[in-house]
Amino acid sequence: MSSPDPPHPVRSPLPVTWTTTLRFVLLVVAATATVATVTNWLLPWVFGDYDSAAIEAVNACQDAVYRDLMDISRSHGFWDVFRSDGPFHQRLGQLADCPRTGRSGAWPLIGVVSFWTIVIVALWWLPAWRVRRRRYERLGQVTGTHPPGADGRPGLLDALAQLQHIAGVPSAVTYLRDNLDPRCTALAFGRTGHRCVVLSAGLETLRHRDRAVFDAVVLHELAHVRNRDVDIGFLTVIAWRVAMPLVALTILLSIARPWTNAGGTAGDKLFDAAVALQFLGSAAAVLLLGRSVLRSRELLADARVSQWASGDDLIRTLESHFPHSPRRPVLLWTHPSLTRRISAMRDGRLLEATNFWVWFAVGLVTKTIIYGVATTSTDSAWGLVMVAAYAVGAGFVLVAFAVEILRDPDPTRGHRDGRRVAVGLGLGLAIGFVLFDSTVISIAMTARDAFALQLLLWIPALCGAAWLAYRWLAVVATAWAPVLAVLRRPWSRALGWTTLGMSIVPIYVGLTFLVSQLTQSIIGPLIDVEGVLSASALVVELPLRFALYPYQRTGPLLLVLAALPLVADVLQGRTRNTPSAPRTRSGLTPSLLHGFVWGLVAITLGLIVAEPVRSAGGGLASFLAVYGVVVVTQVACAAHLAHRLRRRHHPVAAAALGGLVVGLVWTTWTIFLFMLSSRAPGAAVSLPGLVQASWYPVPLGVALGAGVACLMARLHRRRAGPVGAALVHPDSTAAVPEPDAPPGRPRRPGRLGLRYGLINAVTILVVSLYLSILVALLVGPLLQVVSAVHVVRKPQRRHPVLAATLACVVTGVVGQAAVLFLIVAALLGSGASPDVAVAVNGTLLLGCPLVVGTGVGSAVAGILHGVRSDRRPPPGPGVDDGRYGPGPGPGPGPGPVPSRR
Amino acid sequence: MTTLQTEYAHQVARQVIARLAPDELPQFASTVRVFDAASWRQRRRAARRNEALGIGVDGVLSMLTIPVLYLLHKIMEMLADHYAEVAARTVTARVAFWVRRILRRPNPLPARWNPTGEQLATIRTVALRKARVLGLTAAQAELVTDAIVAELAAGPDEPGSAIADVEP
Repeated sequence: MSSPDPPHPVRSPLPVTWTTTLRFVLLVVAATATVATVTNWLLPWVFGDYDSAAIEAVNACQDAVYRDLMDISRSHGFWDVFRSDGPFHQRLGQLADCPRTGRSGAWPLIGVVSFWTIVIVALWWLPAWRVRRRRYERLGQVTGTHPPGADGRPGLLDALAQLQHIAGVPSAVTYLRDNLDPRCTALAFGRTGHRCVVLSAGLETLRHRDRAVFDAVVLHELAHVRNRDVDIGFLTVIAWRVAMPLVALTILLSIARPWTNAGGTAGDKLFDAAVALQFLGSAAAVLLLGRSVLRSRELLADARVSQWASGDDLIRTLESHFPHSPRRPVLLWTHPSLTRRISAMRDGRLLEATNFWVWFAVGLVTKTIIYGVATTSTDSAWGLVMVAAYAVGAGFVLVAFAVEILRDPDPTRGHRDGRRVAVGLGLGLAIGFVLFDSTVISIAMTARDAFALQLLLWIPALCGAAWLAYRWLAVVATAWAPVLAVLRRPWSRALGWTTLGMSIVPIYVGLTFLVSQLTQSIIGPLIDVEGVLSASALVVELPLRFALYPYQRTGPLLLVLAALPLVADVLQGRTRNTPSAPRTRSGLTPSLLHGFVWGLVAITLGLIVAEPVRSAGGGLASFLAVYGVVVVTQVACAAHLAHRLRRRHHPVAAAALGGLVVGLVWTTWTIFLFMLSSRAPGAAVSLPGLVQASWYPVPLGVALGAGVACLMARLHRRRAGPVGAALVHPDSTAAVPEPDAPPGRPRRPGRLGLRYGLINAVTILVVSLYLSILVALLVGPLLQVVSAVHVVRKPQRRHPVLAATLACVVTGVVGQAAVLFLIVAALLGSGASPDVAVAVNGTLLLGCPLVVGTGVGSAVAGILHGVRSDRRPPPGPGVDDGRYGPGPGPGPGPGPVPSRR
Repeated sequence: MTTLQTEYAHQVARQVIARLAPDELPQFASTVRVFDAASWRQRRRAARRNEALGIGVDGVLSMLTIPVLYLLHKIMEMLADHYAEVAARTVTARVAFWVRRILRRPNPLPARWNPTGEQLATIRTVALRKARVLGLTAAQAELVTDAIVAELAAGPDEPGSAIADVEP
């Protein structure tokens, strides 16, 4: 039977190991961390290294410190949180004075070592034990790839030798028969040097009836041997079977322990129930990851078989002899579905694809790693171990990102994969930080506030951060890949990889920041203090807090973010493969020079502005004026660099670096001034505090400058069109349009309006609940204007302003319906007669903002459309590039849209 | 089961296989030997085993010998139990019967056994249910059960012929 032409060629499965590798690494890490956590809970209790009174004392002390910290941050304002000599840090330092639990930190290590020893021993003894227990009959051993027909062996072994020759399995394989199994099945097992394939009696019977099916089944098992799936698969199964009883025992004991203690309080019971829930979550993660590993190996073995023999035979075998009856959820299957196996055989790209769930697991396991490493801390080295825990977690995420990006440098995959990675990772982190932490679970159970809303608000923040990290790493990887390819000397390669390894800094800082803020916002309700990051203020406060993060972290972060792609450009320019190749011009030097010059401008302007303000009284106005000058100068420098370097690689990175240099020059100048003033007697200046105080505006200016540069780069690329865009590096930090969404695709105004309307409704509800309904009423018209601008930017429409007005109306109606819903709910809750009140208030609240928003939105759309019409080039051959004039809609186009002005 | 019962079961099984799947006859003797050497637990496990690391889950049956042997052994046990229970008229005999049953000691069948139509109908019902549990499709189960019942109704041949015919 001839196979139909596959839509995509089957790739060699040899290099395709990433999907399994990632899953297997996740499994190993999750199992190790789970065992470490479980044994850290179980072994001290079993061996008597557990003092309840001491632990309660530690918890009480830490509780008191945290409560005080929250009080301080509320009473002094959160600016004070960042002062190293302020009361917040003083109280934080007293955390080290809390009593010690006295528990040994070696228990997790003992548990992990014992666990893996048992697993390895079990794997080693598995073949002999399995053969003896199941009474397999030995058929014979085939060594090497010698041709069949030698030695006068019996028919079955001869056929097996032939198949082993086809498969190219070099090691000796012992063939066995399970005489009691009547089904058509086979199994590969064993360890290095002792590989076995057991054939069922049913399969041997089938050999006489359908030789192709027999061959396909045996080849599949030999593919497992050749792919070393036997080791991976059985390690996976054994790890689960060893860990499962341990986890189950710990769960039972953790539930039962408070009842066995006479003095067990309700809080103890709640906490131990949370511990049990945490262990349950970890065990579920290990189980699901194991199943995922097994499924991925099956696809790879199928791909091997389809290379060695006709894939159709295998498909026919699977269809006729292995009808998959889904009795369990998909995630628990050990084998992929038949449809997926057939698809993977026909399209090799499916073998490489990591899905949403894998990245969800990466998020969960990252939390497990951090928790697992943190549990190894002794009381004296708590801070160091926490830093190490977050560094290991960040390193894990970085490696996962890097391999995912580097394994297939396809420039069109960035956005599609980025979204999947970001959503999976962000969701995994958010869920992991709730489910895999018993403290947080118990908080969630006792919190009186809207914990779910708080968590829901954090999820997009985490997903957005993951997306940004992924995109940035994609840019860095694309910039560094050609550089590393041409580096030949060991020391230069080592230096290159070390420099690239600096990319861990943003991952580490981002992870630490987000997790610390998430934890802080969750712990707040537990100790009856509203967290600094309450749900209502999250969206506004989070970027501000990041901008004001201590310079020790934000400084290296910004430097690495901006400089790493530029350094790659410099090296690429110096390491050309051929002298005739065009030299890559980096934006590193211009950004440093311009940044220095603009820094001098900032100093001058700061002096000019500060003097009159100080003479007028100083205070907050002076503070804001000086810092505002710095920020404005940074943005101006970034915009200037973005325009000047628009045809070079990475203009956004160069602009950000320029802004950073401006900030550094200004900070240095400020420190210099303060050092001069501190020479006066009695003046005492703390250098770290001084640096921090002068650092406040710098991250803000860099971020704003990078944003402006990003917008300018996009604008330049749009204006340049396809030809001009080729001049700009394709992997620059700006977005690459999706292949299925070309620029200028017509939008349906009603649908767009509905989308904005839903955003409008959600925003109004959130703002009304946490701020004020009056503020919420302003949000509606604002979003109406935004939707109008969005529609009118797509000028293929015959009546763009009318379409924008329609979008405005839909946005307004949907959004104001939320207001009406709120009012009705409030009136019903207050017991007033709803009819009259609803009529009056509804008309007022729906009507006024709706009319105002529609009017303003239409006007803005009209003005914008007029401006664009004036810029439009005259129609003619070669001018219409699909961006202006009639669109590709149905029917003849009416020609250029006339301006309404 | 007693040796006689076992031989009878093998004889019937061979005739059933010769009728339904003659290509399995070359393996019949070795399969019978392994089947007899295995304990009930091993037989049951082998029939229901689902390897997580095999080529696929829910592999279909491709050999009838083992299910047929399994069914016939079950039928023989059931018949022997039935006759022993009927024959146990005193309390002592009944207790002895239950002890043998718990300890899986075989109860002997009568020397001459001619099944009635009612007994054959019961055997058919039980065998059909067991065959489905073993993983046979509905059509396969009907076919196998009908063949077994037909062979049982025909009566036994000379003892020992089941294995002797196919020994190499």
